[in-house]
Amino acid sequence: MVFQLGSALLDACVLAVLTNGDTYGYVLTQTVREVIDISESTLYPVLRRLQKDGNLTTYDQSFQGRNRRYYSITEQGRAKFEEYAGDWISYKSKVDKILLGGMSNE
Amino acid sequence: MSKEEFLSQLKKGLKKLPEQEADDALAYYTEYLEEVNPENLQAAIDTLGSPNKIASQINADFAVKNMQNSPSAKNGLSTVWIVLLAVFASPIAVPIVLTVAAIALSLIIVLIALIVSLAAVAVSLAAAGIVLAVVGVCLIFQSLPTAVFYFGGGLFSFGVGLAFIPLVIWLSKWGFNMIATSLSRLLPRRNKNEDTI
Repeated sequence: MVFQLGSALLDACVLAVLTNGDTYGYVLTQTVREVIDISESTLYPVLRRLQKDGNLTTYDQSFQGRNRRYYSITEQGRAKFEEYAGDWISYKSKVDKILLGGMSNE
Repeated sequence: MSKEEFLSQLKKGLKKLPEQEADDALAYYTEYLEEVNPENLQAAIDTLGSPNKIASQINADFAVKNMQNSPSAKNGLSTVWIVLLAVFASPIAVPIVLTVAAIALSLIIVLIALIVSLAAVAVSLAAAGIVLAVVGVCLIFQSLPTAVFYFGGGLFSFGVGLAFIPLVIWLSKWGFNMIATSLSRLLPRRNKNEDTI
């Protein structure tokens, strides 16, 4: 994709994935990568920061003898996500108006 | 590169971090690679990229956060350095990186020069003030007005010199922080609110 994605959108996507339920690093990375072309190593700093800011928490669960660290969205994280989603809708409709409106007027 | 090599290089790159931070990062990448199917492992390691780059990015993130929490000249200066290393490791074109490094270096030099010269001004004003005041005291039996003039001028100069000291402290505390913070904006996906859309 040619459009550059800012880090706020990356945060929003991670939070969005987590509103559907807790998940662990690998799945989270793969899910986000389905929509945003980020390198695999990018997500760790993002998760770390979201955790430090109190938007998500972690807990460990063992699976087949190894550990999986699950990420879980907090109330604050949900509020943050709602905020992002609201901003996104207004941004998206403005872009749609220009991009797609331009197409139909031709 | 094997999984073990990747993880041990990452560990080496993170050894300056507090143990908890380094362990967390290491656990994340260990877990990540354990989730990958064995036949895809090599590809997964390759797409993760250089462990040194990953480490320098994590180091820079931590240093900036740490500096913002406890600002000091020492933290600021070391953060400039760590972030500069991360900028070098990040996928930015080489000429831009060199330009950035040159600008950062000259900013640091200017800042140090500014701090040193302001400190010199403060010290010399204060010293001259003391000398003048002493001269004033010595003249007290020859001519009272002259003595008062010298004494007062001396105190004034001493005061102005002292007034420079907070400025010097402020500059050394925040100057490096500002350089480090603006430098860190260049790093990919450093989140601050400036790139909200």
